[in-house]
Amino acid sequence: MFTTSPAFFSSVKSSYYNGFQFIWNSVADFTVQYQKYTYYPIMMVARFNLYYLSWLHLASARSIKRGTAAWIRPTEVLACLCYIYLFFYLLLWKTIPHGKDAWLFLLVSHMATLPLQIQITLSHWGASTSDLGPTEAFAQRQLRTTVDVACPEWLDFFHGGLQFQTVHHLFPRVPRHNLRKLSVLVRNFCEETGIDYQILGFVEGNHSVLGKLQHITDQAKILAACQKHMAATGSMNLPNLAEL
Amino acid sequence: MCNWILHPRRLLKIDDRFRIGLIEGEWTNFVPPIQGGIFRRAVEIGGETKTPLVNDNTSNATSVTRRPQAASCTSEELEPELVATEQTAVCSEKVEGTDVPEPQATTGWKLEYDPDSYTAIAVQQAIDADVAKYPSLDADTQREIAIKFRALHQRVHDEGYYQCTFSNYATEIGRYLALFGLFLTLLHYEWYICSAVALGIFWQQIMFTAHDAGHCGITHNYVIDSLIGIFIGNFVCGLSIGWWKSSHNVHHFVTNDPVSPNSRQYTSRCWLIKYCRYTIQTHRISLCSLRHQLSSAR
Repeated sequence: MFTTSPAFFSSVKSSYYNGFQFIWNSVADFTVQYQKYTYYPIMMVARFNLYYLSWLHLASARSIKRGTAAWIRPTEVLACLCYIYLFFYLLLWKTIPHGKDAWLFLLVSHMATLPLQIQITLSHWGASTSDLGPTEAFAQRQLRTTVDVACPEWLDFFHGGLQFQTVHHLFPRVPRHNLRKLSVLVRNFCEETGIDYQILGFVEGNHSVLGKLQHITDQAKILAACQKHMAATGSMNLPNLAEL
Repeated sequence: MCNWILHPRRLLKIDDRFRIGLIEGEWTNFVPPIQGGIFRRAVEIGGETKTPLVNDNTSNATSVTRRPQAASCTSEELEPELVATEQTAVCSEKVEGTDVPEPQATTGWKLEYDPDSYTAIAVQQAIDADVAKYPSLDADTQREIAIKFRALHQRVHDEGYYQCTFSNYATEIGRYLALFGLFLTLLHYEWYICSAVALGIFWQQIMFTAHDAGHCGITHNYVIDSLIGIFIGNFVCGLSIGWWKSSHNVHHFVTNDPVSPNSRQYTSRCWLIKYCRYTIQTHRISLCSLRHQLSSAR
């Protein structure tokens, strides 16, 4: 759906989703052109995808079935079933009048989580996706690939601690209400070591993500131009780039 | 990898029981095989037979090239091929105002790239930009960063940043209840759309606490935090906290790595197992001999 790194141009295989292959095909050719514009609409319905991934996980071998954590999976399944009963059956089916109202309720309630979906991509999609190899220190990698969102203290609740994404990535187990105080220490650490502490405003951050999506779209256009040119002429002469 | 960041000290002590050796001197990370690291048997390069495998490409600190997984060429391989192409088209024009990738600023870019080499160059350029912007990747600089970070972590631990102030969560719960109450009230008066918005904001807010619980960041107790996570994630929001943790752990482990992506990037347990196995093997600690010792001790 979205491409945040040119590495995706040659189909990339996910080592997480059991070798799920991100195939670069004609569908990708099409969607990558408009990814800047499809970003918000897709993020609005992202929650439906999460239901799917949740059940996929619970059904898969990846969820722990043995050992001291074996109770987790059945508990999770039971809790999810309760949710389905309460939300889909009792609320949507029984309480809200069938038809337009129920459908709108389903869509609007799921779209209203948009700020969270945006927030999650904001912290990383605007940042670097490069891998600098095994010598790079853990701290430098985290600081390089993560962006903080600037926000006043009274608005902290809106971002739920994720605005201090870099601090959270350096110390994932630190409770979120301590992150603001801790960010001062991290800033000092960055000054000492000469690593850039990346921080953007909410609007700036959105621009950064959209800019990145556009940049990749442009790269895909150049790539397409190269292929078209080679196929059409079989020669190495230069086509007029202004026509692209 | 920074185990001491990701796990509490209590767990690391348990980890120590499985320790089978200590590396003396400085440790250099290897490129794992799944990322294209090449390992050969010691006999093949005439080394001691005690060493089962030897890593060939120990950290090439100064020149970072993209890993060969996504495309078959690194920039070193690419250069001579490109130089050999005589009909180089020089172009300084830009496509719609954005930077056209220029592998060599002086000669301009060439149109005869196939998708793989173009991709390799685009990826390499992003790497070069980062290398220029960030501290040097040589072992000494990076070690210094790691040492300073270790000191910072000690400070974070000593100054009580890991202590959770529960009164903060009382405020959180108050806000969640208010939003949920608003949703029910609006539902009661049949303002369905507004009620749906209130429910959506309630979900958005309460998921943050599921995130904290997923990191064991509330009580730091696995069972209690898991129950909180399941209650909020699965029961209130309908999403599996187990799925979330599984993918989120990887997200923290290899942040923003597109070559190992899940919903938001990353690697696999398989990768880790291989990585550990090769690290052990390359450091002359034979698992076979250990197993032998254990069985004879029994």
